[in-house]
This record gives sequence, structure tokens and C-alpha cells, in this order.
Amino acid sequence: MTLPRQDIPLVRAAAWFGGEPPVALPGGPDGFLDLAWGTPDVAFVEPLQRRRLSRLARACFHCAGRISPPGPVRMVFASRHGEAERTLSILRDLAAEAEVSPTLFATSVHNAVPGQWSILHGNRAPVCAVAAGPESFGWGLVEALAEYRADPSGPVLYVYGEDVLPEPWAGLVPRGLLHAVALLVGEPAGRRIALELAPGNCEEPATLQSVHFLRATAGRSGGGDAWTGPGGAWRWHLA
Amino acid sequence: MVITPHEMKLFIIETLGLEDLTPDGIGDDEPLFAGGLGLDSIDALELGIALRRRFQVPAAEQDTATRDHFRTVSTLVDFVARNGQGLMEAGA
Repeated sequence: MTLPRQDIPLVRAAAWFGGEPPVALPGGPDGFLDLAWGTPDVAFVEPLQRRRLSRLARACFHCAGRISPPGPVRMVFASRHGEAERTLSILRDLAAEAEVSPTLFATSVHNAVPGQWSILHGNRAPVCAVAAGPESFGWGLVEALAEYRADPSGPVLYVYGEDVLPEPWAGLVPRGLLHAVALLVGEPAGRRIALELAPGNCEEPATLQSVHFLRATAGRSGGGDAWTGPGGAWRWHLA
Repeated sequence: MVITPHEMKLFIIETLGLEDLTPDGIGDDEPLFAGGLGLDSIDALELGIALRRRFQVPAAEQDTATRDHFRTVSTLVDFVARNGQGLMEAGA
């Protein structure tokens, strides 16, 4: 897969990790990246709604809450595995011929995170949910950019999140990391990130695409950052 | 079977993940749905399934009688007393 160079305008960014971030991620003096780890901040969600938020949803809400503009905003959500733990719980109930929990059913679908966000904020703007294997972060961002280009009159909120896979699926991928990233795609840009996607092929990489992207936004390494997966070689650098 | 209002409140809190509530915060005759505690239709389904699993009460029909059974903690206690089987699990 190839993609000609794309310049992505980003107003601001937020990232949250379940534990300490796997690499040093400086937020920068301009405060472009809001970085946190530990307990996600979802105090702005009413208790009756908060109780239904999964670990993944809490991570995503934390990041979206840091950068989302007020009022209606288009949203793209991406995750490779989504609510795998809830899905597994449903499958176990079905295998045991037990009744399936309506709460788990309603909050396990792939668009559950942006759906719950929209309900919370009364947001009627379009929402899209992407899953694209190990490149879910990258393709979700391309989708958000495409939506912004189609109508640049307002920003697009991009939210990516991943939880660790439960047993017996945990061994199917090299590593899991509970984390989320939110990017506000649009103007005025606090960072412009150039993306180049060249042909390349690599078995399942041991590192996460989202983390490499965040390193590129910090702009410390000059040449940006690169990540090669099954679909190609992704490179991001400051435009 | 006999279940006290306090036990029923603990059961509701646990089943619906009402992490910010304690049994003392729920009135015996406070409406659970529509105003009151503010539970919704998904909670009603969830509670129905949990009651069937724990107390083997018969499957609820979507009728007026069911709405009356699910109205308050007191009506649920009464419903389980007349229809439920099995024992309340220790600590639940």
C-alpha cells in the first residue's frame, strides 16, 4: 500500500496510558500534547453514565475530554480489538446457554465508545468507527483527515484506544497496552504532521503504531518516526 | 423466599454497578425508574435477568403487572417473596 505525502493539521492532542508510557513523550512547551497515566479522569461524566464505561471507554473519554471543542463535532474512533473483554463475556454466556447481559451487549459493539460520548454530549454530528488490524491507529487517522478535507469548516475529533486482550486471546498478538490517543484534526494547527506510506512488509511488529506517531509529534528526532507493519512502511515527521 | 429490603438494595447496586450509591441512599418506596433513582430500560432488562438467575423468578412479561413489580424496592421484595426460589448467597 502506498499513499502520497499527506500533511495532517492537528489543533491539539492528548494521550493516556494505563501505566507509565513505554517511551519518553515530551508534551512540549506549547502544551500541544496533554499526557497522563494512572487513573483516567472521567469525573465530568455523571455517575449513572460512568458506571457503564469500560476501561477502554474511560481511557478514550479521558483523552477526548482534554481536547474536544464544545458543541457538535464529527468523530472518528479507531481500535484494533475494541471491547474484546465484553465480547468474550457475551460469548461465554452464549456458550453456557445463559441470557446475555443487555448492558454488555449495548456497550460491546465497535462504535460503543463514540456512541456513549455522543449521548453524553448530545452530539448529533456523524461518527465513524474503524478497525484495521495492527494499523488501526494509522488508518483511523487517515479516515479523520479525509473527513476533515471533505468539509474543513470544522475540526474532526479522532479518538483511538486499545485495551489488553483477555485470556485466551492474549497470546494472539505480540503485546497489548491499555492506552488511548485523541487528536483534534483541523485548524488552527498546533502541529502539522507529514505522513508518507511506502510499500513494505513486516510481520506483526512488537511496537505500537500509535506510540511511534506520538514520538513524531514531539519532533525531537528531526527525521520523525517510522513504523512498518503488514500493510506498509509508515513515516511521520513535522511538516 | 424472604429477602429484606436492605438485601434487595445491595443486589440492585451490585447488579447495576451503582458504585456511587449505598443502600441507605435508596428509599424502600422510591421509584427506581422514571425520575426517582433514574434507572433506564437497559437497567430493567439487566435486573430482570439477574432476578431470574439468582432467585429463579419466572420470566417477566412486558405488561402492566411487570411494571408494578419493578416499581420500587418494596414491590421487588414482594415479587421475589411470592415467586422466588433458592437462598440469598452469603455476602450478596
